[in-house]
Amino acid sequence: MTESFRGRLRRLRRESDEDPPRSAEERVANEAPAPRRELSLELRGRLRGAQAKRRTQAPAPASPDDGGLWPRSIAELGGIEVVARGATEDECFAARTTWFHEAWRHGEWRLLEIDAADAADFHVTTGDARLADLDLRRAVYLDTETTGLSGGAGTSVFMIGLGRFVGDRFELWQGFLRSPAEERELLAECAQRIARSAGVVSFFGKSFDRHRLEDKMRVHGVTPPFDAVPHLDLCHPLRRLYRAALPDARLRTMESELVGVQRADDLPGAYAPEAWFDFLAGRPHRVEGVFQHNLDDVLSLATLAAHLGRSSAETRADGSPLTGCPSARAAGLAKSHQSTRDRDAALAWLERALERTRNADRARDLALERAEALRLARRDADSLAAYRDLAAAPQDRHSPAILLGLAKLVEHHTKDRAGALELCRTALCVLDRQLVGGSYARLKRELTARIARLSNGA
Amino acid sequence: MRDRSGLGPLEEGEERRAPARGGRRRSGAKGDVLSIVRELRSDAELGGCFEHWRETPARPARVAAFPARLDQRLVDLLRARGLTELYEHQARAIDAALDGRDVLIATPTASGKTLCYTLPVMQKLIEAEGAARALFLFPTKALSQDQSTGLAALVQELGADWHAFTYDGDTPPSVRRTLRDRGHMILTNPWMLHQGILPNHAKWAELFRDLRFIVIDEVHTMSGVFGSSVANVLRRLVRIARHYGSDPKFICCSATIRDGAQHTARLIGREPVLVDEDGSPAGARIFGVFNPPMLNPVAGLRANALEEARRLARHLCGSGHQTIFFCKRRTAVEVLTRYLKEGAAEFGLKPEEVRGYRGGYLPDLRREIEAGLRTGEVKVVVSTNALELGIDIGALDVACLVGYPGSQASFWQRAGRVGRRKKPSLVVQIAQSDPVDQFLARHPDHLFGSPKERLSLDPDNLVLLSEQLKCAAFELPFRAAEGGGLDDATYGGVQDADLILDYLAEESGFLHRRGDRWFWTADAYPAQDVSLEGNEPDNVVILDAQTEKAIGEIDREGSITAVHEGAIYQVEGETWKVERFDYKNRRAYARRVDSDYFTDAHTDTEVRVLRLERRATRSRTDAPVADPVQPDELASLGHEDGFPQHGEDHAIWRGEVHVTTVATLYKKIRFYTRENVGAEDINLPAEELDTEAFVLTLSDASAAELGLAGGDRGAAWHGIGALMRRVAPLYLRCGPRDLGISTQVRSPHFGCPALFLYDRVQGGVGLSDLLYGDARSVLEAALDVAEGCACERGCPACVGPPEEVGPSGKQTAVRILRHLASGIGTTEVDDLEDHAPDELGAALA
Repeated sequence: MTESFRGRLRRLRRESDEDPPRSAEERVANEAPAPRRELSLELRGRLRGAQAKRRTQAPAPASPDDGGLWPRSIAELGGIEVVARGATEDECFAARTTWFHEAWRHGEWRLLEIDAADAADFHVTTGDARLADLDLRRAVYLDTETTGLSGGAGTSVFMIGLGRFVGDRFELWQGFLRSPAEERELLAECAQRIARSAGVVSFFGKSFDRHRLEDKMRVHGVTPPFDAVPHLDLCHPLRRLYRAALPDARLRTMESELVGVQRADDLPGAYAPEAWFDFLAGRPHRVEGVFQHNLDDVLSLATLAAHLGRSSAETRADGSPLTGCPSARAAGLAKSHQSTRDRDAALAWLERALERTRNADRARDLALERAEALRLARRDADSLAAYRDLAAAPQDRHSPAILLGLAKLVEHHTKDRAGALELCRTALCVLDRQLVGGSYARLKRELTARIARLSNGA
Repeated sequence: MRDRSGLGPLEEGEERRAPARGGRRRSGAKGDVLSIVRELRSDAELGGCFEHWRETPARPARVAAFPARLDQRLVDLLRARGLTELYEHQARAIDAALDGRDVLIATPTASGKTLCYTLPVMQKLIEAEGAARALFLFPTKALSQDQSTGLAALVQELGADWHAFTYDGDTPPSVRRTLRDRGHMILTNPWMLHQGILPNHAKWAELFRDLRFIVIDEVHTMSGVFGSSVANVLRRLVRIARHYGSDPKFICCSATIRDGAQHTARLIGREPVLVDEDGSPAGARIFGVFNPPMLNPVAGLRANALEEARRLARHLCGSGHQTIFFCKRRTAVEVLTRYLKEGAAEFGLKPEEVRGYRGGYLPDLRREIEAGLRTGEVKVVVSTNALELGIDIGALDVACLVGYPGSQASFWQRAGRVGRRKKPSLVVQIAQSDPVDQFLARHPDHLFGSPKERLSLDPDNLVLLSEQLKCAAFELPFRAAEGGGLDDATYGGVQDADLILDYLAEESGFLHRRGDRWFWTADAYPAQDVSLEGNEPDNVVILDAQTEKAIGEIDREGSITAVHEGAIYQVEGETWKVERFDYKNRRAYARRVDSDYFTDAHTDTEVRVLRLERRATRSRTDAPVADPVQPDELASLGHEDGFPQHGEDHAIWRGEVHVTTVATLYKKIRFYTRENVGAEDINLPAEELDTEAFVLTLSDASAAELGLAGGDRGAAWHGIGALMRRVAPLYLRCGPRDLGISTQVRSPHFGCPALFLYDRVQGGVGLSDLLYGDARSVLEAALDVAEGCACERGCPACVGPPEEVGPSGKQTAVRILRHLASGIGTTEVDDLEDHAPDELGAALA
């Protein structure tokens, strides 16, 4: 009888059961008017009677998973314990804890190298003062697996990986939903673990994982713990330091280039939702892959944090040089210091970046940044000299910016308004001939305004 | 001196504007509405075209004291604004809302509805010391902007730290978070609620935890597919609010509509307290119905309404008062605005004092025109329905409606744009050739009595319901109730909801059922793909074949006749020829051509009865055919023996049908001459529609006596159906296009003449029910139009032109309608079982 209601619903929703058509023949066949699937009065009567009967019957039989606390499907995965937090079947969830000795090597780094990290680097590279005394030993390393990226109340966090150091070991705890019904308890446990920590370390977690968790926590009346603890999101600082030298800023790229992690048989993150849906449908074969993927992610968080904490030192704890493009890092650190307004440090890193780069065009970029940094550090004479050097070279795409910088100095340092105006006009001419680059509009605006102001005063 | 809204800045109050308007402009007799009426009545050319004049006398206010429980600060604030008491209906509404009841306020435009919901919300905020929230739903963005400004001003005067924010597609992402956390009053629209707020309810937890009121303005706009979808969005809203522990009450506002409380109950799922006795004062209002002169009585052709509006403008426009023209289409607005600007000098106006107004104008321009209307600088405005809803433009003096707007609610909203308390106002309705316009021109009482239209709404339409359940399941899991059905505050009572969830779990894979619960388990965001207006994904986009830029869109059902290969598709006078119709991907490619013909596609529609649910009949004994055709004529029809005077005369039915529409061929018809210059076949798959229908059947005996037979005369039967479809909007809120029609002179199912009017929405949204309930009224209106039409043998304004209904079509149609619409009505019977299709078919074979 359910078939009939379904048939009707399918017909009304215009969902054909042979959808989608696979072969050309089928498609041709489908061009003909669809066969009618109407409900005869008799069928309808039967449907109604059956529905009425059904309503008086006991509730629908439970799904095969409900035989006991242990769904058959998950028993096949090793190392799983069930964490029961309450009296009912739903007040629990599954978790797996994997222990690593602190000397465990993930890629080319050992976990205990977090001890050599300088939290000052976290402050500098993120601009977040709360991270200046982040204790990586007492932080949790967070990575989640969700059912999608679009967000909204229907997006579930079905796996939460949380790593932390306990004594000389690293505890990698992975909470897992065997059913969406277990969500509340998993979230409550997660919130507790985060609240007890000294901080959260994640990759892109400030923009993603945190929001998915917070949304779900609010739905379940669990107080989100995130405001109370500092959060080091590795994505943005690593991007600033190394993006220039890397094809992209994904975790996969960062971990292989910076801490030497090479994954074998990794289940791409995009397949994680499918793997869980399959699990729910009684096909658990891919879930182990998700556990492994999540585990590798969390381990990488620890080693990448250790790496980021050595940025200024530029060496590992044992004195060996830090991996990652040194000139990109120096330039990135200069930018970081510039945004925290430490002009001298920024200049020092720019000098280093300049020394290290072998690419002429890149060197000119950096030289321009240095000239500007000198001006910002109020070393006008040095800055003027630097800008003059730059301007002496043949014209290139940097010329408008160079001429503009020069014009500022000529106006304010040399007090030569006419000269400044002349420089601006030349810069505008050059700029208009080039028409390149994203900074075109900004430069154009700035030059036009400056020219207007200078010519008015004259 | 009172400001009706209670919210507008002081200078916007109507009387207070009077001094600023000055005696200068009002010096001439022109400014006086009464003298305009005198002029019109005595005008040799125009006067005769006014078929009716009617005056509603001035009405004093009925007032009541502020409810005692209103906080003194609120009362003081209103007093400071010059408001010393409330209108009776305002006091009642506020009391009911503060009592925790759901309320519907159904009073005319400008009766002070805003205050009815503002004060309860403010009162609750005061009582809860800010720990209360309210959500306001407006049908347009402009309305919510207007209202949030007013609310913010009120809060500021109260000196409270509350915030009223508009949340819509224009809200920048950067401020959305502040607004979610700090907005005490969120003003939004159903679409934003559906796609933005509900699916992200966790981000709105603050709002839902303390949600006290849901204010819905203009609920009469929520009918049909849209209304049925909104009803489900509201179910979802209440469901989420309950989840966070709040129990919000509804305050709904509406124009005066028939069965408003019933409609609202279906919309919000609860019975509201109805407040519909308008206590606001009004000046005298004069209505004139202008029927353009008949140009060709044989063809039933009248002068163009827009041209007539232009002629009337000489009298209606002037420097001493403000006039608003309402047109049905945007192009008409532009044309009339141009005419009036050109002729401005003739009315003593400057061209810039005449403005057009419609959707599509930029917001700044619209605000400027609205302000001009409020200050009195704009003397004449020509608008579409864009100015019909509650945008504050102050009260004007003269309204001219070019054509009936299609519904009573719209008519009164438009008429409500004029009327100051101390001055009479004038409303002129220009009738078009349309059957409804002509009916109303003869029976203006239809408009003035109690409202006649019912709104259709069916939140349980299976298609809409299943889509909305998908969205709801995304938002929160569902739980089954013991013994079947759902354990859910809002969807619990909805039949088959559990079966739909199982369907979505097992066949579509969106949900996962575990034990007694359904969980959303798909990587998707369903609200994005579910439209409130119906099946948009099925619409066909018409693209410029050269640039692939979209030039138009057409619904699924219309596509096979409008964008088949070879069709001429017209956009604002331009002609495009469809080169290719990619049926599967819902795209049609057209090329701009200068065509001297248009195309007219023919379709075959087959309606098959799936199920009959209700039936009402009349017997031949109760109402014999008064004037049967002569025996020799019967003989020519093959019935020389005559008929027994008993048995069934006719019946009406309501049921479920399957409609198959095939486009067969199209004709190329030359513009103007309407000469047929060729025909070609159309090769497209049939459109299938499962829906609900109203059916009218006429017994063979009565049909024969009334002269209805196959062939030529069958066209009369179709003419009746077409006319019923055209006049149906007098009794139910729909456009003629919302109903499909099919007639059979010998129905294979019923074995006699049958006429089907079906809901053109997959699954139906309740129109057939309403038709069934008002069938007699619709038949009477159809008869009235056909009889009253001056044409000889049928015209587009009644049963259709003679080319369609045949030479004697009108005569036959009128005879049948006269028979059906006189005598006693039909009686509901409960013997559907006897009419199972097979038995009937066998009996009649």
